[in-house]
Amino acid sequence: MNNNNFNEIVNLLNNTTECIHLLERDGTISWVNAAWKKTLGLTDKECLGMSIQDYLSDESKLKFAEIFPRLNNGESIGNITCVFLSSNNESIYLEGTSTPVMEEGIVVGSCAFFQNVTAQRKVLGELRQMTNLQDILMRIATHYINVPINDLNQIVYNSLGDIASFASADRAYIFRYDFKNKLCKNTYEWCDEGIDSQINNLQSIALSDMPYWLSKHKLGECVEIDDVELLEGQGIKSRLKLEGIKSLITLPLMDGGNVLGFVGFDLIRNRRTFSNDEKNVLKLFAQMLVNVHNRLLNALQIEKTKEELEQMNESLERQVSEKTKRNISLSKNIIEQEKMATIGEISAGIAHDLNTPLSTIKVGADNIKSIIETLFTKQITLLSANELTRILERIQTSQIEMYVGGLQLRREKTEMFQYLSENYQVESAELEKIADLLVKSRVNKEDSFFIQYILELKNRIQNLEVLYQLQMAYSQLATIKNSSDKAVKVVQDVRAFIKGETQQEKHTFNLKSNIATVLGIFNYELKKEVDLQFNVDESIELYGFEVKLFQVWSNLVKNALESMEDQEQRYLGISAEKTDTTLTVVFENNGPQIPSDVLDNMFKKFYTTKGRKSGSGLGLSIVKNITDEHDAALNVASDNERTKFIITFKT
Amino acid sequence: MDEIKYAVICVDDDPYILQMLSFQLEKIIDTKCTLIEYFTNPNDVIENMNELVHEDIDIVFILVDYQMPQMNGVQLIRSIKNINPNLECVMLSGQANSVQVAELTQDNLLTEFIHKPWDEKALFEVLSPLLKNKIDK
Repeated sequence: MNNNNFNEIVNLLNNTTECIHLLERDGTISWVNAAWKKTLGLTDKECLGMSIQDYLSDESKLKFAEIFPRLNNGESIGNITCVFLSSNNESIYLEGTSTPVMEEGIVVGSCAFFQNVTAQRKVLGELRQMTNLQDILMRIATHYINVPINDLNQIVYNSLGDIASFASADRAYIFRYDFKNKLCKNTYEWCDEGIDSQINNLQSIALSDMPYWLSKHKLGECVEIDDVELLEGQGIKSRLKLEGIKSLITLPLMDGGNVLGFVGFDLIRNRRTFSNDEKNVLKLFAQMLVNVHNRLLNALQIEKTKEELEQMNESLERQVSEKTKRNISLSKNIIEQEKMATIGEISAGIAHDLNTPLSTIKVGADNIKSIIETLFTKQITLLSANELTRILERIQTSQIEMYVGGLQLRREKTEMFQYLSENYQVESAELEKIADLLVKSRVNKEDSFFIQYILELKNRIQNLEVLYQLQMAYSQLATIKNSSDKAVKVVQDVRAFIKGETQQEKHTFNLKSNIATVLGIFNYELKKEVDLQFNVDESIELYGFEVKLFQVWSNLVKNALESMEDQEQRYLGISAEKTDTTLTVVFENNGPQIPSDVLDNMFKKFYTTKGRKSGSGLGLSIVKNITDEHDAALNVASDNERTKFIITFKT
Repeated sequence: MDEIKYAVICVDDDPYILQMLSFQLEKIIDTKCTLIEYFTNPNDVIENMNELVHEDIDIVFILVDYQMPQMNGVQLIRSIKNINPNLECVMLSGQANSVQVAELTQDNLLTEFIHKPWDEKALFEVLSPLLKNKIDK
């Protein structure tokens, strides 16, 4: 090849867009074409004679170190991608082949043909970065949406790290504006390895120290500081320099028109400008932070509301349970009160029933006292012990009528007088006196032996007087005893009736005496011209709540009496019939027919037709209640002759 | 024997009360000339009274309980007064403030009202003058 040809070839090579270099075996640059020099911004002077390693990135240096031995062995190598550093320190991506240069079969160097693929690489890198970014944002967004509220802090911290890595930032942080206290505060911070944390120094920054930042953020604009060195405000500059910051960007956290704070990214190792794409991503991130902040607030609000609701529920539950308890005890009270009201309504009758025996007790006691006085002041002292014993024997062995009507008494006296005058020789006036005392002492002519004994006595009149007086005393003592029993019975009935809660267990008891207790309470009322037919077999036993059933019977009796109040003839029939499986108790009265609309409602609480009388309206609802408790059927049949309440117990 | 000229009548459904009364009344009533009749059923009273009148026996007073089955004391007194408007009627009762009794008093049909339980002395204070008025005349 001659010189002309050589120049032509060089000329050709210098006009190609491929970057071509010739290296010696050791990598010393022996020739480079124009495209190579232009691409890397170098002149022949600067590069010829230099090692190719000087223009390679660290990574590519390693690659070349691996390639050289192969080239020197005569191997051609394709698809090499290297990163060269241009004169202004930019990374230039070159891609191509390198082939050994042979002279007389010996490798003397190498020759490489490279395409500048920096632009493609950059696009590719950006594409990849955008993809990464999308991934990051997607991940953050998904996290922010799904993460449990308690983990949000960690997620915010993690996302700060992710975004910082994307933006090659060394530190990322979130500040919250506190306009009330005119401060701002660092709330989150992420630092790359080897970067000092600042968060503890940034808990209370006066807003007055950062008017420019605040004004920009309030407008929703970013604060970008490409080079801290070029800052003019000394205060902030010295602070940033103190933190070792070279460049930074902060983006406002806008919630609608309000700025909540800002998110920022510091560059400490390298100074650089954030690209528009990066800024857009960071803005997006900032918006996501606001969203998550709002979500947090909402969640807290929801949590708070939930707690309040729970508390409210709890308190409601408590109130409901308290009220229920109160209602239960109230309804118990109502039943008790109804019972007491019944007693109250018939209290006049009860008083009368008590007063009658008490009257005889009192009057009897007075009478006996007067008898004793009479006995001691008069006759008794005149009698011998034998005479008294005889009188006492007579009294104790004879049945005494309580009183004798005047006509009968007179007839008996006449008979006695006649008998005496026929049998004894006694002066007429004395005989009359004797006859009178004998009859009053309930001695009749059949007691001739006793009459003879008396008449043979010297002081027969005194003996008869004592007999009469003592007999009266004994008879009235018996009455006092009977009257006491009657009074006790009244009290027992009332007590049994109002016994209430003390006896709650079901047990077996006699039906007749159970109903009789209630009839005892109503004795006075029933005496008022009521034809009472109480036909319950004494053998019938019932298993149930004895005391509660009092209230069933009493209400049925009470209703019957009230319904018959205005009529001449009053009939109350109580009967019971027992089969193998049932016990039916019927309360029947001849009161007026119950209208059908009343029949429909009569067992409802507070339903009453007794406008004029004091009725609680609870009577029949209590009857229903108690019969239900006994699993008994309660039926009413009413026509114009009879009204029947029929209670059927299962046995 | 002396002739019976007078009678008193006691009506109470409780025989014990009549027993107590009988013992006390015999202290102030001379049974030689006065009958003391007792009734537990007010329905028997009128019939018996007619018999007494028929026998020309003067009824001094009638002592009546208020609350009785079949007929109450007020109803009994009203029917007695219809037959014998001048008969002294005394009510002996444990009944407090009965409207019917008040009406009876207003109608001047009741001579006296004695509460149960009663004092013998109080009973005699009411009954003795009545007896005296009739019998001593």
